[in-house]
Amino acid sequence: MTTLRPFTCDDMFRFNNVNLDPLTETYGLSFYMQYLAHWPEYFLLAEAPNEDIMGYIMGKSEGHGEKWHGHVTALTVAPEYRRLGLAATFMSALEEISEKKRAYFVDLFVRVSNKVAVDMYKQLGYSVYRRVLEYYSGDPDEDAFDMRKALSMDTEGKSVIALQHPVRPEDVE
Amino acid sequence: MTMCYRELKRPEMIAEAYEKAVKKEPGNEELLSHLFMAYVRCGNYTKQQQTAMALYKVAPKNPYYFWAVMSIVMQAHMSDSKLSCTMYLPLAERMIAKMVKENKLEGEAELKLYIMVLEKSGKRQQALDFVNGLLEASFLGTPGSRWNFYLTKKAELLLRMERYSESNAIYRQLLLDDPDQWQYYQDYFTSMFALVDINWTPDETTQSVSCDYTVELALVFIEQGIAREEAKSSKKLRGPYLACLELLQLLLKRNHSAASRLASPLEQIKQYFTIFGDKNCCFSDISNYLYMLESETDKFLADILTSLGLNGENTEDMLAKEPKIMQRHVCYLAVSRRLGKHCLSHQEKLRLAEELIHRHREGLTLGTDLLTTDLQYSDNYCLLAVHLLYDAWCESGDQLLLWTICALLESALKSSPSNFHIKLLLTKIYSYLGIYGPSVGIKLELRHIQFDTLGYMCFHPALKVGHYSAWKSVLTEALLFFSTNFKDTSEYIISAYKYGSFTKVYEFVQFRQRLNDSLQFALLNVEKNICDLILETSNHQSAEKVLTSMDIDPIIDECKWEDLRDNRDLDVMLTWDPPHSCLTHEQRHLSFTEQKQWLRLRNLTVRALTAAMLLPALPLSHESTTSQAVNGGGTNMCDALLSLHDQLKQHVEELETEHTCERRYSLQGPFCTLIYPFVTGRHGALLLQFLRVVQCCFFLQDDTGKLETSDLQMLTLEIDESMKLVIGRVSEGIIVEGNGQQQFSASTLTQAVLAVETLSHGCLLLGVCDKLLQPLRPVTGRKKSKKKEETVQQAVTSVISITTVKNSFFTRNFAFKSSSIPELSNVNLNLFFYYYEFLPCY
Repeated sequence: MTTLRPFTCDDMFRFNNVNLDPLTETYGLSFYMQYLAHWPEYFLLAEAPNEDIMGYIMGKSEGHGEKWHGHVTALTVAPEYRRLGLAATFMSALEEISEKKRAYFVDLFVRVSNKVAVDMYKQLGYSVYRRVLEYYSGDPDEDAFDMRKALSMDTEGKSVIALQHPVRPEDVE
Repeated sequence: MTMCYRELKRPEMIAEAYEKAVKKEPGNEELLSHLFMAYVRCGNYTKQQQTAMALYKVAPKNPYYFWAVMSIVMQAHMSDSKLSCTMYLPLAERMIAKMVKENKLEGEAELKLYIMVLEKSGKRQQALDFVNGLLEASFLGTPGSRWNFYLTKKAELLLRMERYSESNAIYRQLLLDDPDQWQYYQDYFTSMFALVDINWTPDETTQSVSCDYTVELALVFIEQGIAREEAKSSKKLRGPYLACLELLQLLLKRNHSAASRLASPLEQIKQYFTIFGDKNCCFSDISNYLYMLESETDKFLADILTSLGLNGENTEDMLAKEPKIMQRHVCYLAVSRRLGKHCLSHQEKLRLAEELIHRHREGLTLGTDLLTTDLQYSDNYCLLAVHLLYDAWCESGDQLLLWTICALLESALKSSPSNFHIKLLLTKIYSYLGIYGPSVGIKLELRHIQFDTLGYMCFHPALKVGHYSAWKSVLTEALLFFSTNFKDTSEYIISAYKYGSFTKVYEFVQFRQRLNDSLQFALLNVEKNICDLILETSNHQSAEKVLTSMDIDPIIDECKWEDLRDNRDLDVMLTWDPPHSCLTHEQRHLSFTEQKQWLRLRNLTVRALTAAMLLPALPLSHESTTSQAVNGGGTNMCDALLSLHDQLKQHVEELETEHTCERRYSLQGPFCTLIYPFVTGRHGALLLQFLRVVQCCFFLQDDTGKLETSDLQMLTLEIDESMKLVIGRVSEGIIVEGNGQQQFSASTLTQAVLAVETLSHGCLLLGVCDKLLQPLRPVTGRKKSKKKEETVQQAVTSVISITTVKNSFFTRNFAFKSSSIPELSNVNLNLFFYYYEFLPCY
């Protein structure tokens, strides 16, 4: 049981139970505020009945012409609220908003080692479009899968035809 | 140049520059835009409004028009309600209405702004009419979608306007589409009960969409919801089940007979547990309804335990073989703790803890395939055991229990390195023991806003034991975050205008203010000053330099006490305690007050030190005109010093009265401040005495004979006494006998830290005395000054004697430190061996 609502600045004071998770990064204020200012419709939060923050999603829309698409920047669920289908709920909300904006597809980047996430996205209808070498910096750098799902504007499914060769981060628009 | 001024934090200079540019080129759209943004940085809403309208005249684009409207709305926010309702909001409304009439509204943001203005003006009917007149497609949310602005706004307006039937109808429809939205259930019930209370019945003219205006109808609706879930083979939603529990709760509160129509609390909670017990969220979902079990608590727990099948005779059968069963068992244990079943005898607590530790260890075998970034399935067994051991410690005070907890948690952390609950608990327990070093290795890794919300987890433990190097590095990082907040946030307010996210403008302004007014920020600022005074000064000249560079105003208190905000996140740690043991609202308030009291103490201290430092040493010739000016300035600072001394005295007295024992909040709550050790260690008294010495030395420069020689002598004696007390507390040693064993005394360590601080301040003040007395020393000859010479001699002697005592303290302190370290290691070794025996597996 959740309440799905837009994320507000004050939620940043309460999201520690989500952000202390090792795979969730706490960014500088500019990161959150940029998304809140530019794409508030994509920045959603799920709240439990006891007012705990269960998780949130950050996204945006960008590109031109047939490359106009929705993008998932960050999606995270607190450890105690996992296995409730929340990620799927967030993704479907983001897809719906992207549909309304007449985007052609939705895409996201995920670490190639994050098998759990990759499988989850595949189940939600995403496929690997291309591999981006050394997308994530670290020790060592790690590759990313660019996964995509076509929306109804893309009648022929052109946006999800997988590329044959991997690309580098500079090649990503 | 803009960037330059921005970095210098002088936004008004940017505005000035653009004003000049615009004067030269009044029709330049780009310049006018930049001027508007410059005013946004300054928060000058009136000028924003004017510039936006000028922009609109030059280029009639919607965004500029709405920038003007938003500027007016901001003025409405910032003024009192009368002015905003009579002037600003009507103006904003008229401006938008004009656009509506001319059909010129473009984006969703503009529509939302109009609705917001109407709502704020209390014109709900108009807002409703407006929303009704729009297409549902105007907003990005749609029916059946997760967040439907169009319908929810309508329903919300109707609810506020007390048109309950229409509101209920919408919520009912929303719930049919999305049965998992908690907020909809709450409003559905509110509207339903409101209709029941007024005995509403539908008439012929009522709308076609049905609403539930009786309890019976609501019961049917809820039961149907559950039936739909039961029929599913796929994942069930928690919403309908929790809604049923909620309805039962509401009916019972009203003593409504229909409560008996629903399944009893026992049955419902059992059913919920059966379906969702293996989910982590089960406990938090049902915890607020557990009280409804009343006398059936034991039956409930017994039934659940039986269903788990974990009470076999064999020790092997006792353990959960599967993660899902383990999760259910953990939930069962959490619920029994919540119901107060862990209020056992001391021995029983320890026995149960031992069992849980065993389960934790065995449970790790189920999680060997988990990644290091996952939490282990059996971790919560360990946490439950720790809570039990902590309860046992609260009762017995046996420090060995705390060491046991640390060993347990460290070991659990090795198996589950990402479990931040373990990390938080460890940091807490180490702090209670008076240790900071291992906490560094735990790597909580706070970033950005977490310095405000979770900073208290690092700051207090480090400060309490004088771990200055760690303290300083985290302090610098945290302060950087706070100080760049204002500058950076302003840029995003500009972005909000640019992208037309008007609702975010006010939100960002509020957010920026909340961070700026943070109590944590104020505390860090003053603690940094004190830290620098201790660490960065090696002689009086450097002390003077450091203090004057801090730019502290001794006369005016720059702290905005009324506006301070407590942004600490005190809910992050897990707790399964019964409601009466959890952190209450009163305790949060008490902690906030305590923090403010500590802040005031530090604030007064630093300002007093500054006032003392700024006391001028008068030149030899008192008759010259320049000395008049100096005298005037000197009197000013002297008055400030006197006033600060009195304020400090009063504050210390208040603290002594209020803090008569060491405060302790619940394990999941905040830390207490150092107020209690401060008052019991007589540090306040010593500091005040040092301040009085400075005053005396200042008056010595005066020929008015304000000073009696005996004053200074008496002070010297008093200081001697106080120092003996302070040193006495420190000399108690950090190893004490307790419970038949040697224990580490964290409080002595804290006293040592406070002593170092107080005496460091003392050094500083004595340096001031030295400076003040310097010009008087060579005075000889005149009869008048003979008495003065005596006084000066005595003053100098007193100062020297104080310095000697102080020096002896430092020598002793050093000895104490160096002797106690090997002593401490011995004790530590003993303790480690002790608990290694106690827990052979570790």
